[in-house]
Amino acid sequence: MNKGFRLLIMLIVIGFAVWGFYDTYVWYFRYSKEERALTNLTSEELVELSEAKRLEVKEMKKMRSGIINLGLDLQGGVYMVLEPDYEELRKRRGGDLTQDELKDAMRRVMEILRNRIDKFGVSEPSIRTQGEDRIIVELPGSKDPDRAKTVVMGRGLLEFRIVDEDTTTKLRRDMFDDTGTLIDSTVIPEGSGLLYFWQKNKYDVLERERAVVLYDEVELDGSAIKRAQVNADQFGKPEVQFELNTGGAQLFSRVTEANVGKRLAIVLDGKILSMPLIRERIPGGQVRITGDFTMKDAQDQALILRAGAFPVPLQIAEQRLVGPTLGEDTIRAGIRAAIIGSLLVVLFMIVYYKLSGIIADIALILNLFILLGVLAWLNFTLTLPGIAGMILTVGMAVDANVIIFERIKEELRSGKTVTAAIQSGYDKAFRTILDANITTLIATFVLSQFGSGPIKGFAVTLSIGVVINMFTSIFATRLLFAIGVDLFRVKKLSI
Amino acid sequence: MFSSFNLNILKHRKFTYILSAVIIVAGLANIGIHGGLRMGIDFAGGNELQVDIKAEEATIFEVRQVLVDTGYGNNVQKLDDPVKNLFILKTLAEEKDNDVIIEDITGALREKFGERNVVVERVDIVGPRISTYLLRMSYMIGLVAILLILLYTTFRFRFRFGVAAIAALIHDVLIVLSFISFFGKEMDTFILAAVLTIIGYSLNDTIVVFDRTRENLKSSKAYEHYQDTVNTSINQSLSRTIITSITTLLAVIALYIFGGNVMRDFSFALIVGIIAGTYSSMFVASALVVEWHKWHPEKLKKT
Repeated sequence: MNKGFRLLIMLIVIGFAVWGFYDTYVWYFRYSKEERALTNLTSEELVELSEAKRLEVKEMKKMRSGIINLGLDLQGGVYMVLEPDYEELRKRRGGDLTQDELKDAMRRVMEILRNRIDKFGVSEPSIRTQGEDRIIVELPGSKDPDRAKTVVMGRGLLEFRIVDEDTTTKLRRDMFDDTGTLIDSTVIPEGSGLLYFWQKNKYDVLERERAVVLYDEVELDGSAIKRAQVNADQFGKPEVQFELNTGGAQLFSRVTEANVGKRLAIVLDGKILSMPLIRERIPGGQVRITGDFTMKDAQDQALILRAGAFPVPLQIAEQRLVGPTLGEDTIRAGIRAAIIGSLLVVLFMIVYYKLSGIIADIALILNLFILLGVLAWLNFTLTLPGIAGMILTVGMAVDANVIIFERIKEELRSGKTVTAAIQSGYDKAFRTILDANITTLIATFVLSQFGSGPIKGFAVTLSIGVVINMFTSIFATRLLFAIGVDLFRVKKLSI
Repeated sequence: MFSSFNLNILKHRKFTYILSAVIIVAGLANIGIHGGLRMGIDFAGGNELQVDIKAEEATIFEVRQVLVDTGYGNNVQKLDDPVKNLFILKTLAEEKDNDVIIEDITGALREKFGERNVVVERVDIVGPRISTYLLRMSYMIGLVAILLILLYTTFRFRFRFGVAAIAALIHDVLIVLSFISFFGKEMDTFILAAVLTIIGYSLNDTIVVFDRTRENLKSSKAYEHYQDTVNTSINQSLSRTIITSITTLLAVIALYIFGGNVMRDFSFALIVGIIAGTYSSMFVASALVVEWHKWHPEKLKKT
């Protein structure tokens, strides 16, 4: 191959890397945080923007599919592995569940999860199943991972039950122990049950506020809900408002008529949210829950109610929750380590190999640059272990050049001319480099099979780095040597 | 600096065998005394909560007392951080409702130190089923990696070279595990990734030396002085071995110092592994090839 042709290949590869990485550069360095956040808006929120702005967001979303994303550990967020707990369903059915029933429950769970998360508004949510009954949910970049968790995990089981006033008034403080549990459970008559009215304390944590006894009979459940939304009441306090479907409205009208003067408890996932007094029959199916909650809470509740209840409760089998502050610290530390590590290696190569060291350094920088281009092109999600993989790539990338340079030195010592020494140095080193890199690739390939998550990120960056390294450290440096030797008519190699 | 070496490296191999054996035996004994390696929550299951408590008066004793009062044990650790007041609270994982455990603990912390003073930085929950799955997966992955590498080295070199290379990398893995145990660190998926990377790196070093050995063994004169030839090969690749170790170590040490808490144990394992890998390519892999030849001379291959 002549030099011109090799130079062309080099330029094409560099061009590809620039093209691949350009969008990522614009995304992180040209757009502000606020502009980036626009792509997280839900479709409902988008409607409120102007036409021009909407088009811009659409473009940005498209751009987003070709950049390097930051993983959960770098921008905060939640990773959860959920398992449905069929026990309750089994009890209700009074026996084992058929394969179809299990599949159906699972399908319903997935559908509800998708509905809830779609409307929640995080950058790149991902929901997928693993095996038969494991669900993996990833919500990167959510500013409040705790809230995200509530939306995912809330059972969404809504019940309307009538308060058993007689028993409730009989409850006294000394009937409970320190933890708030009833000491003698026979106080509660057959057909009623004890639940708690929950309110947020001054730390914004939901707490049991008082115990209430409710009749067991569920007058109406979540399946009667047609629509749920959040409004402000006349005092500006948020309230959840829902509209019942026809059957639900009729039932509700009958229930309220029969229970005038009693209180109706609205129970979500076993917690009493609100207990309004029924003053008269309520026709029309319009129900409001007011309570001591914030706008965000009300919105989340409405969201959960709209999407419906899980047929089975979900259990967390694994969870990795990273707060946004830790994410920021982590990425800062990762980038600092990468820059300092690279600088040390670059300096060492110049000190030890002089001008030839600079050639190896150019190859090293090229390697990192092409790696970033490829990762962006793959729409790769970068994690801290991924950055570690890059750092290790930097350390190992110069290895090929070290092998070559040491060979060239040997050839020079045996009295060869500069051009001949370079020639045979590269030729003899090639096999060794190939062997050495393949072993690393075997290890990283096996590692990349380790499920998903951060370890895979490490393995993938390291293996792509090693492959690119073969190109930059052999092909690119050799070209640079050839050009340099020609240009400066080198008689003595600076190595 | 290291332009050409002529050291009689293999002469001292009795000494280096003893050195390796002492470290590994002490390491294994240490692991044995503690009833196995200390497993992190990835492999043992458990809940881990990392909080930044901004209240100045918050000490490890107080945080521990809060945890004890909730009834979930007393495992609290204070992290070294220049700015933040970081604690890690650990509890055992139940089959269900681990998120409730976490909520109870954060609630108790907030009550004690104030809502605004408790920032939850990280919550890891690994249920018992997942941890057993991860552990089983790890054994399988280690086994597959070693098998593939044995296959590759046997195919590229002769069988005895492959066995020597595998012996060297098992040596390195044992050294790393020993050091993890000596320094009381926990085995988790990060350390597993480090160990597998070391397998690749160690082999890389060994193969560079073996490549040279194979090249030098081609003449029958070199073959007659088998040990000297292997020794020369080590010397010829010694400068490369040292320089590559230096550059890789520079990068990994930067990761250790500047990479933050999450990467510390991972880069620690890599540092130990890189040093062990460099050492074993000479004192274990090459030395074993010489031993094997003395025990059962290799026939000269006509090529």
